[in-house]
Amino acid sequence: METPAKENLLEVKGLSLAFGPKDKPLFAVENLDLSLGAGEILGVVGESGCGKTLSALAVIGLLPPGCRIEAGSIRFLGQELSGLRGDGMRGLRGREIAMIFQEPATALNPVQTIGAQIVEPLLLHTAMTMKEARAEALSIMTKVGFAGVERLYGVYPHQLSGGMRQRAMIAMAIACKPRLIIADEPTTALDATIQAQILELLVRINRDYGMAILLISHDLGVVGGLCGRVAVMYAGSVVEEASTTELFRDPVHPYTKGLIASRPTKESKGRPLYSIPGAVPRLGHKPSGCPFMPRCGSAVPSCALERPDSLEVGPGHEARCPPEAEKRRRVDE
Amino acid sequence: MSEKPYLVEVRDLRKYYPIPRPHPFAGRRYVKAVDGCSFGIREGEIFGLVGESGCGKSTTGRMAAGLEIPTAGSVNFSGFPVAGAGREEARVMRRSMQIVFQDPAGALNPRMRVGTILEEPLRIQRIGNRDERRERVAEMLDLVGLDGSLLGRYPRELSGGQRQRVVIGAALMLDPRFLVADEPVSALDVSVQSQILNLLMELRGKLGLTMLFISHNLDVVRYVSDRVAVMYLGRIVETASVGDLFDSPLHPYTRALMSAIPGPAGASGSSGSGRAGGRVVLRGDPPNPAEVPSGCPFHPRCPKAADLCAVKVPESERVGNHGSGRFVRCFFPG
Repeated sequence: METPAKENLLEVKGLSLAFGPKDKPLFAVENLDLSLGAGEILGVVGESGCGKTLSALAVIGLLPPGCRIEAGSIRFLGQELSGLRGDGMRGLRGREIAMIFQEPATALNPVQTIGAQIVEPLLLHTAMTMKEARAEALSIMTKVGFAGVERLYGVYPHQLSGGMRQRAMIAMAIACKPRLIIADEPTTALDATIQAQILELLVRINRDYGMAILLISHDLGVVGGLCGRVAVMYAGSVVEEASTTELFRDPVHPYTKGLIASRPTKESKGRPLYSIPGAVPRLGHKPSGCPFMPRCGSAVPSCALERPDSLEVGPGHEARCPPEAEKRRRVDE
Repeated sequence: MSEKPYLVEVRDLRKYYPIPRPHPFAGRRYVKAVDGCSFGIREGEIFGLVGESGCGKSTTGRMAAGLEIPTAGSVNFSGFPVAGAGREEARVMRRSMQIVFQDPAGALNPRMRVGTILEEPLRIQRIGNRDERRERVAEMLDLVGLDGSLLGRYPRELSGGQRQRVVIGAALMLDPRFLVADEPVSALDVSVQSQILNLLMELRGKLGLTMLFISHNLDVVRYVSDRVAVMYLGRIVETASVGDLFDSPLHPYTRALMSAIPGPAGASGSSGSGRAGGRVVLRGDPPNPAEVPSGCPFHPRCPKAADLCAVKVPESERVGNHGSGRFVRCFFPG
């Protein structure tokens, strides 16, 4: 299945993002590696403040003021994005890479009609005339599940429900048939039954158009249900990456184990839930060794010494925990 | 029939909010946030209330805690009516019933230190002298798992989990018998969520608390509750024990909610249990509570809807002949 010879669609290597003064940087993301093949759905899970959203914003060139790329590279279709600015990035954004935000109510323009917002990227990035773009927008709106598109083309975001707004945002994102869609918590603001509709829509888009999706979520359930592969982030770096089935069946990193075990399930009823002690370290208060060490039940003295490397623990399965990886290796031998 | 009496009994509870009229001669219209809810919670029981946003679960919780005056219907607390109690009676009654809100950052006064926040309920209720109050605060910190050194801190200096522990501690200062927990873990990160759930269960064991636990998260509700009611558009559509509800949901809406729990298909023991009968993805959005559909409010989205459903409102019917306490509001359950 793996075709290593082909270059991946998105290749993030050693990415570090920092705030604060140049001589005393505060790293929000440290040494991040991510890769995503064409047409793949990769999930990125982590708790608030782990740097998942910031990493996505770096890919699409929308880092907030005060945050900068300190090191590393972001390659998209073989092109380096990290140094790109202005026109270069604008040519890609919306055309090749599009983003779906968490809160459609604030991400949509409140004083423009839904139709105008879907037409905009088409007029900007393609040679379509207004008439063609309008026809295309109507067909995209049907695709994402609007009923009565002619009428809804002219409505404003406030006239739509949360689920419909999110569909409108997805329509904007897929308008130019980008190769990569970044979906940042696309269903967090939505109700359970609406969430199910939107997730189904994302799967359909991936299948029908072959668009790759980078799905960012705090919810292991959402990621597990949608993605083939999952990367777990903690305090600014990926601590484990594996296929979804493998990750749930055989998690290696103590943090991943903790996350999976702390979810309430049918079996856990009546017993105390597993819980990871302590809290996520604050920016600038990260320990010098493994950032998870203060909360880790199986830490060894060497964990305090340096940032751990990510090691292979199985086919297509990596974990940033040398002691655990070592254990696995010994068992295998 | 020899069941324990209800500590909290809610009967035909309604809350209507008037919508501003477009002109003075227009008819009055209302948002029926809660439209006829009945349930009872036994001493020591945790009663879960689930539903999507806007279904009226928080309003129900606020009325059960006496924070909101119902338009109609009654809430009885150990036999006494909560609504209609006078100012002084209400103050005394409030000692026994407390509420924990979703967002701990918003529920705590940012300009008060943790110690003052915890002491405040005792001062308002004029309980004990200064030293006694201090002692009680120290005990409470210990009970909710906070370090004594946090007494002098402000809420902003605490983590989300610590803040929620303070909120729970403040709610427990007056030894309440009944606690309304309105989405107490929804604003928390996954790893902290389980800490707070464990704390609530531990406190229930130690203090024998009775709880109304409100949440949109079915996994959490299943973990915590003994019995569960599912709300849709201001009405309870199904009430059952946790086991019955999750093993064999009867109302089509309950079934849809359960199959909407996202989860990895292959992972055993995960939340995907409700999917056994195939995934039901509902059409459409929950309707606007100001314009509730005729008949059964769920019929426009219901996969089983028949002509009858659009005309007649189904009554809540008891399921099973013994006192199972299982009710469903549907013409075609199962």
